[in-house]
Amino acid sequence: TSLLPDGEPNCLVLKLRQMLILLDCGLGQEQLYAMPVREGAMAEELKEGLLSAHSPSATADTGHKRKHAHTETTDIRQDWAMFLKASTSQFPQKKKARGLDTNKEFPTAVAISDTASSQSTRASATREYMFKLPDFSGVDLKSIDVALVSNYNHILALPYLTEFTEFQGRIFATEPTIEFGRQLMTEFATFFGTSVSSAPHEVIDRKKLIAQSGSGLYPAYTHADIKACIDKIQPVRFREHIALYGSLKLTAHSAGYCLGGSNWLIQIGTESIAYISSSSTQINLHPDLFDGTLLEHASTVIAADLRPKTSLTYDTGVNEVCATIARTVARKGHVLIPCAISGFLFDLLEDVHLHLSRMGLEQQVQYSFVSPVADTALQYSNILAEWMAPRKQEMVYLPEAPLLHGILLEKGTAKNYKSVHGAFSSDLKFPCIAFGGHPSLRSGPMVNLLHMWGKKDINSIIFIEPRIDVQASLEPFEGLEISRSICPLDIRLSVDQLVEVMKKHRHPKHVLVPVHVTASTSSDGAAELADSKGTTSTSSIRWSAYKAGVPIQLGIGSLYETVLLSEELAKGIFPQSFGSKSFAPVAGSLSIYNNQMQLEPASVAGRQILALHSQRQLRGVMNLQTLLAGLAMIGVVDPVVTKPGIDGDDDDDNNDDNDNDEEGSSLEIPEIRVEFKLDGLPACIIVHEGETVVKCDDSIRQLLRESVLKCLQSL
Amino acid sequence: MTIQIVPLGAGQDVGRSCILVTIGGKNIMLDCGMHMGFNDERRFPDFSYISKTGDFTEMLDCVIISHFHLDHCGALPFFTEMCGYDGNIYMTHPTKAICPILLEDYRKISVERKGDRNFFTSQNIKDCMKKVVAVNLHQTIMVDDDLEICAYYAGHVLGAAMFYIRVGEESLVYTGDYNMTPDRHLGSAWIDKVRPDVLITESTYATTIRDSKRSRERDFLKKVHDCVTEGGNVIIPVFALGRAQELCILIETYWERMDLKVPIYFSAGLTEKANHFYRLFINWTNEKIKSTFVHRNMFDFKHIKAWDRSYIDSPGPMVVFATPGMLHSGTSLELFKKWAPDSKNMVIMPGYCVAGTVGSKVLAGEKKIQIDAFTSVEVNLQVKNLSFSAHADAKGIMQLIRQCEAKNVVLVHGEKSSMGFLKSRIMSEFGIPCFDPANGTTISIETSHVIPIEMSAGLLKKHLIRQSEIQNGVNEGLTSSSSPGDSSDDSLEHPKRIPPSVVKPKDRVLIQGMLVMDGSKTIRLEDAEEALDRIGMAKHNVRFEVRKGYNATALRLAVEDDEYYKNLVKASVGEAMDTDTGESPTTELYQDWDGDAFALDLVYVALQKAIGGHVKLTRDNGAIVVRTVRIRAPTDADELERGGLLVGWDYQDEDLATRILSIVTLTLRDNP
Repeated sequence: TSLLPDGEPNCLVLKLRQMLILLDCGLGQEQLYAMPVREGAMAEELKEGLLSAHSPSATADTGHKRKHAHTETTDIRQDWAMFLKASTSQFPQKKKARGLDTNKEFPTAVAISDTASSQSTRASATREYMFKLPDFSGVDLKSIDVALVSNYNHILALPYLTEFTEFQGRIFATEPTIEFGRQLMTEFATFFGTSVSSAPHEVIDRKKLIAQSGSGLYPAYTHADIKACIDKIQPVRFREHIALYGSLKLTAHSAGYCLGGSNWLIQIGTESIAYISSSSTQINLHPDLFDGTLLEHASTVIAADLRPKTSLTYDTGVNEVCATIARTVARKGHVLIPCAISGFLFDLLEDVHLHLSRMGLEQQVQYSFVSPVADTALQYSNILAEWMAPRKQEMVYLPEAPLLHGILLEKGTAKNYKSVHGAFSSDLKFPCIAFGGHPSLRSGPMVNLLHMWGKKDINSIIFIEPRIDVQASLEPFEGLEISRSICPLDIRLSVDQLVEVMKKHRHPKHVLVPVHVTASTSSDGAAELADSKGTTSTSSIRWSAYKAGVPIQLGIGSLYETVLLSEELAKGIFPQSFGSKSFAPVAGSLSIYNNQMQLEPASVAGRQILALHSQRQLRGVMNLQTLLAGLAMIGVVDPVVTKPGIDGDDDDDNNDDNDNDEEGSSLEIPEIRVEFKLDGLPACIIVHEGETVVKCDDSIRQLLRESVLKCLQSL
Repeated sequence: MTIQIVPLGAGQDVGRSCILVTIGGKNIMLDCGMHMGFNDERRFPDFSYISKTGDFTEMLDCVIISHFHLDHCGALPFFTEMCGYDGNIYMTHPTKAICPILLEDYRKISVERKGDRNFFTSQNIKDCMKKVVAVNLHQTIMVDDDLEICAYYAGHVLGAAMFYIRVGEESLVYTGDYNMTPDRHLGSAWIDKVRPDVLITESTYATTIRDSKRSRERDFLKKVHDCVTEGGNVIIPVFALGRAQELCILIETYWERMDLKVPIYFSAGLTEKANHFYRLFINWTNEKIKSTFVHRNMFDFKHIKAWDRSYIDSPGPMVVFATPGMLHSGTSLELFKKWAPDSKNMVIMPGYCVAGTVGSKVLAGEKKIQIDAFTSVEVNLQVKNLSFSAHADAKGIMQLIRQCEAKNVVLVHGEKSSMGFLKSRIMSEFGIPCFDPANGTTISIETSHVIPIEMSAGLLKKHLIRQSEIQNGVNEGLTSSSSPGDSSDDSLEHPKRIPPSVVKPKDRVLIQGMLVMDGSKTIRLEDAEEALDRIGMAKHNVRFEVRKGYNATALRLAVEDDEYYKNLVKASVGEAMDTDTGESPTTELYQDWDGDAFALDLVYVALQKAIGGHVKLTRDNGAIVVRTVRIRAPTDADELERGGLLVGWDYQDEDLATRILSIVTLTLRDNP
C-alpha cells in the first residue's frame, strides 16, 4: 500500500549559524494533523452512537487491514522533520538539512479510520483519540531559538511543543494565523479531545502519561493548553522586520494562500533564506497577493507544501463544485462540505452564491456553517481587510463587509451553529449547504449530518480539501446512499508555478523542494528537476530535493558580517587605488553590542597595541635603477653594485645574510648587492627576487627606508 | 550628515500640520493639514516653499499622513489635485477609509454653506484617495531603495499612526498626534526602541498633566446626568469620528446601567457609516473590544439614535452629539445658537478648539459671541470643558522620548508658551537637544554618520582568537614578571588581574584590516594580505638588519651599582667584569663577561615589561624573537668588530620594530 502519495513535510528545522529555527510552527499542524492516530475506542459520547449505525462486522474486517496499514505509516513517520543544519563549529559555514517527510493529513486520515474501525475489536482500550507527534528525537527542543508559523494549517502541533516539552523559543506568526490557528485548535480539541472537561488533576495525569509515552501517542490537548500556547505566540504583520539577538532578521511576506498566510525570509548577517510555505498565485482570491520580493534577497529557497502535479486546477474544481451543488439544490437535496471554516472557503462561497444566483436558486438555499468556532471564524475574517487582496480592501472603504458571508449572515441566508443540536434542525427550511466538521469524517458535526442525510441519494457530500484521502474518510460510511463528489480544490503552488515565480525575481542559488513533488514524475527527482528547470530558467540554480530525516547541507557562500564604520574613523581613511579596486588599511576597535558591531577609533592604549600588531604590506617589484636614483637623492655617492655573474669576487666576510646560503645566493639566486657609505657608516642593500635586505646602522636606517620603499607600493 | 526640518504648518501652533523633512537626501512631507481658524489662503500650508515652479512630484519623495483629522489631512486634495503632486502618499487603512468622508464633509461646509469657490471637488477627493497607498502597522514599506517607513500605533483616533522613517543609518520618528493612555476604544501609543536621530512630537498638552481618566469620565457623566435631570439639553460638539465613539460608548454604558430613558442623538448621517467603519476596523481598537466583538460589538449602539433637524424644537431634555467639534459651522453651531441663551442647557466641549473658532470663544468664557457679521449670541448656558482629546500630556511625551530613545527632539503642534516649558524639561531631564521651530524656519540637526560595511568573518575570527590569546598571555606575563613595581600602561584595554568570576564576554576587539572598494555598493573589510593577494600584485619583502650600538662601559658601571640586578644575575657578576664591545676588548680581567648577553637580558626584561602583555617574546639561543623581529648579539668577525646588538625584521613588522627599537635605545642608554 503506497501511503505517501502526497506527503507534506511542513515541519523543518533550520540550523543557521548558532540559530536553530523551527520552520512552520516547527511542529506544524501537519504533524499534529497528520499524526492523529486514534488508539482505542472513539469517544462515543461525542458521536452519540451515530457511528454504530454502520455495521461492526464490516469495520472489524477492515480493521485488520487498517491495522496493518497503520504500522506502516508509523514507520515512515518515525522521521518527520526536515533538518537544515549548519555546523557552526567550523567557521566556513556548512548547513545540513535533514528533511523528513511528514505524513500529513493523508496518513492521518488513514490512521483515524484505522482506529475507528478497530473500535469494536479493542473495546477495552482507552476511550481517547491519540495522536502521534512529529519525531523530535533528533532535535534538542530546548535549544530551538525561534519557531515560525506560516499559516493556520501548520500550527496544530504547537501546543504539544509549548506545553509539554522544554521548548523555550520564541514563536512568530501573523495575527490572522494566530486567530485561525486558535480556532482550528479549538475545533480540534473539541472534536478529538478528552470528553467533557478536564479537571486540573487530570491534566497532570495527562502530562505524566505523555512523559511516559516516549515516542508514543499523545492525546489531544485541552482548551487550557491552547490558550497557554496562543499566548506565547508573538503576532507580526507582513513585512514587519523582526530583529532577534541582533543578528537574526525575520520578515513575513504574504503568501497569497489564506488570510495571514506567510512566507518567511530569514536573514543572518549577509545570508538569506526564503522559506516558501503554502503559497498561491491564483488570481481572484481574497487573501493579499503573493509577495515575491522575498525571493529577491534570498540565496536559498526552501519550498514546502507544493501542489502535486496531478491535481485539477482550482478553476475547474470550483466549476465542478458549483455544478454539483446546483444539481443537488435543484433536486431539493442537502449538500455536505466537510472542511475547516477558513481559507479559500470564503472564495468558494462567493462563487457558489454567484452560480446559484445565475440559476435563480439563491432564494431557496440556506448556507450553514457548523463548527464550534463558526461564529468567530466568520466574524473575524471580515475584519481583516488589511490582509486581503486590494480588490477586497477597496470594499471596506465604502464601507462594506469585504467577504460575502458578512452580507449573507446579515440577510439571514447564512447561519452559523455551534453544533447540529439545537437551532440547526428547526431553522432548516430550504435545501441546506452545510460547511464545517473535520474532513476526516471521524468526529464533529459532519458525522451527525451524514447519518441524518446520508441515506438519501438526493443529498451530496463534496470533498474539497486537497490533503485528505477521501476513500479512507468514507470507509466507515460505505453503506450510505449519499452521492459523493470529490474535487479537491488546491490553490497551492505547483513546481512549475514556483519556477515561474522565481523567474520574475533574482534567481536564488539553491532551491530545495520536497522529494514527493519530484518523485511523482521520476525516480531520480533532483536530477530530473534540474534538467527540466535548467532549460527554462538560468541554469545557475541548483535544485535539490529533501526527504524526511535526511539532512541537507546548504553551501552558503560568502561569509561576511555587517559592521558599521564610524564617521570619525572613516574620516581618516585615504584609499589607494589599484586598478579597479581601492584599498585602505583600517585599524580600530570593534565594539560588539547586542550583536551589532561598530568599528570605531581605538583608545590611546588601544592604538599602541594595534601598532604592535599592525602588519604592513609591500607590493611591487624592486627596480635597481629606481633604488639607485633614490639613494643618490639621499646623498649616497659611489655605491658599489655587485651583480651575480659580473663580479668575480664573491664577498666572503661581509655576507652575514641570515637566510641565504652564501654559495647558493651567488650561484642560483640572482642577487644584487649595493654597498655604500652614508654619514660615514657602511651600509649594504641586497636585492633578491622577492626580498630586499637592508643592512645598516640604526642612525641611518630612516633615510634608507624611505628610498627603498619609494620603489614599492606600501600599504 | 544633516537632517533638516521645516514646519510649513504646526510650528509653534496647532492646525494645518505640515512638516517638511530632508533626511539622507530624501524630501518627505509629514501631514498635509488645513487650519480651522482661517478661511482664506492661510488655511493651507504655503506649498510654494517647496517649489516655486510647482514641481512638487519631483521635489518630494513621499507624503505621509498620520491620521484623518482635517488639521492633518485637510489640504491633501488641494495639494495633489490642484497643486499637482503626483507622488506617493502613505496612510493607514482606517485613515484611508475615513479621510475622504471628513474631507467631503469639510468641502460641503466650505463650498455650500460658505460659498467658497476654487475649492477642491468631490471628484478631487476621490482622485486623491486613489493615489494613497495604505499601510499596515509595523509593516516596513520601502518607498525606494533607500527610504523605508514603518507605522506604529498612536492611539489618538482610529488608525492614527506614528511613522518611523529611515534612510541609510539616519532615522526619524514623526508622532502625528498620539495618546499614551488607553481609552475606552483605543489602545495606547507604542513604539519600538528605534533610537531615532530626531523625534518630531506633538505637544498639544505640553504643560498639562491630566488627572486620571476615570475621574474625568465620572465627572462628565455626572454633569450630563445632572443637566438632563434638571430638564436641560446637553449639546456635545464632536467630530463625527474619533472622540465621538469613545463618548458614545461611555454614555451608552451609563444609560444602560442607570436605565435612563432620555434620548441621545448623534447628528450627521455620518454616525451609521462611522460606526460601520469602527466595526470593520475592530483590529485597530483596543484588546478588550477586539476580544468581545464576536458576541457584542461595542459599536452597535442601542440608546443612541440618529439626529433629525425636526427634533430641535421638541421639548427636552435630550443629549445631542453634534458635529463639528469646534462649533465653527454645521449642526453643532445651529444647536448652540438655539440653546445658548437658556441657562438650563449645557455645552460640553470635549476637545481642543482652535483659536478663532466659536468654540474657543465659548471656552474663553465670552458672554456675547459674534458668530458672523450679522449674528451674535448671548451665552447663558453652562459651559464645561472636559479634556477628552486623546493627546499625550507632558508625562506621556516624556515617556515616548524615553521609549524610543531619541537623540534630538523637535516640538510641533502646540502653543509656543507651553512648548518652552516642555523644551527645557526635556533638555534637563534627558540632556538631549530640543527644538521648537516656527513655521517656515529651518532647523538642521547633525547626525553622526556611520557607514555599513561587510567584514570578512574570517578576519573577525582571527582577531577574536588573537585577543583571547593575548588576554591569557597578559595574565601569564604578569605572574612571571618578577618586578613588583610593574605597571602596564595599557591597563585600559586589558585590566591586569582578572578574577575568573569577573571575566566577561568581550565587547571590544581591536581590528586591523583592509577596506576594499570595488565600485559596487558594498565596502568590504578583509584581511589585508588576502585582499592584496587577490589583485595579484607581487609581494615584496624588505628586511632590515640594523646595528644598534650602545655604550657597554656605561652599562657595566651602572650595573655594578645596582643591587637589584646583582641579585638577579648573581652568578655572572661574581667573575665577570667589563667588556666594552663598542671598542675592542681590552681588559683581560673581564674577559669572560659577555656584555652582549647581558645587554640582551636587559632588553628582554624591558621588552617583556612594555609589550610582553600583547605580543609573544621568545628566546632563541640568546636572541630575542618577536614575530619577525630578531635581536641578537654579533656573531661573525665583522659584526663583532663593529659591536652593538643586531636587530633584524621584515618590513611588515615595521611598527613593532620601531617600538622595540625605541625600547632598546631607552634600555641600553638609561639603564637602570
